[in-house]
Amino acid sequence: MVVCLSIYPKKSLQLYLASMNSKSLSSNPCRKTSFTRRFLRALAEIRREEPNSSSHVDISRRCQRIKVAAYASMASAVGSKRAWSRAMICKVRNRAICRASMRQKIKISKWKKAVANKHRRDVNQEDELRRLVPGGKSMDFCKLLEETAHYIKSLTTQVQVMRSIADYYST
Amino acid sequence: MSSRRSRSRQSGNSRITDDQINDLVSKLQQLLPEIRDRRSDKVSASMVLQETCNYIRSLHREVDDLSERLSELLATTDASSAQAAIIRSLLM
Repeated sequence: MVVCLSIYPKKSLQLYLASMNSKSLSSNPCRKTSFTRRFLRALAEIRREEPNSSSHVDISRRCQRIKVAAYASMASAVGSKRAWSRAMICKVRNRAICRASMRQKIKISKWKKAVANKHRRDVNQEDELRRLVPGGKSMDFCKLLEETAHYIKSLTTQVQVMRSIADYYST
Repeated sequence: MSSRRSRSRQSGNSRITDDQINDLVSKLQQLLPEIRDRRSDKVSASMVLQETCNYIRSLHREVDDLSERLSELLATTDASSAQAAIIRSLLM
C-alpha cells in the first residue's frame, strides 16, 4: 500500500497513522506515534534554541535537554492513566520551575543519603526497583510490579524510536 | 511450597494473594530478554526482580547513549521536512 503522505493535511496524517497496524507485539502504535511526534517537535525546538557548535559544553547541554525531552515526551504520550507517567510529568515540571540554588540543595541532600546507604549491605531488590521506577516509593508491591511492567514496555518503545531517529539522521 | 508462605509474610499485606504476585512476576519475566525463555518454576521471584532492575538500568544507559548521539547529529541535520518520513519508516 503506497500512499503519498506529503499531500495529506496534518489531521488526515494522524488518522492514517492511527489506523496502521503495528508490527511489534508489545507496543501500542498510538503511543509510539504520539511519542515520536512529541519528541521530534522537542528536537526541532532544541535545535532552534541551542547554539550550533560542537563544543563539549554545548553538546552536553543539548544532550541533557534531549534526554529530558525523551522522558517527558514518553510520559506525555502515556498520559495520566499510569502512576509512573504522572510522577515523571511532575518531576519534569518541577525541574523546569526549580531554581538553581534549590537544585543544588537537593543534590547535596541526595549525596548525603547515598553516602549513608553505601555501607548498607544486601540492598533490598524491592527498594532498588522503587528507586528506578518513577513514583515507585509510594506504591504497594502489587502496584509496583504492574507499573514496572508498563514502564519497561514504554522504555523499550522509547529506545526503539530514538534509535530509529538516530539511524535516520546518520545516513 | 514453604517459599510461598514466606513470600506472603514478606509482602506484609494479607489482602494481596500469592497468586496475584506470581502472576505479576511471571508477566514481568516475559518482558526480560535474559530470562524470558526459562521455565517459570526455575526462575525465582527475586531473580526476576534482580533482572528487572538490571534491565531498567541498561535501558536508562541506552537512552543516555542515544541522547548523546542525537545531540551530536542534531547540529548537522535539516529536521523540518523529515517528520512524516521518520514516522512512516518507524511504523512500517
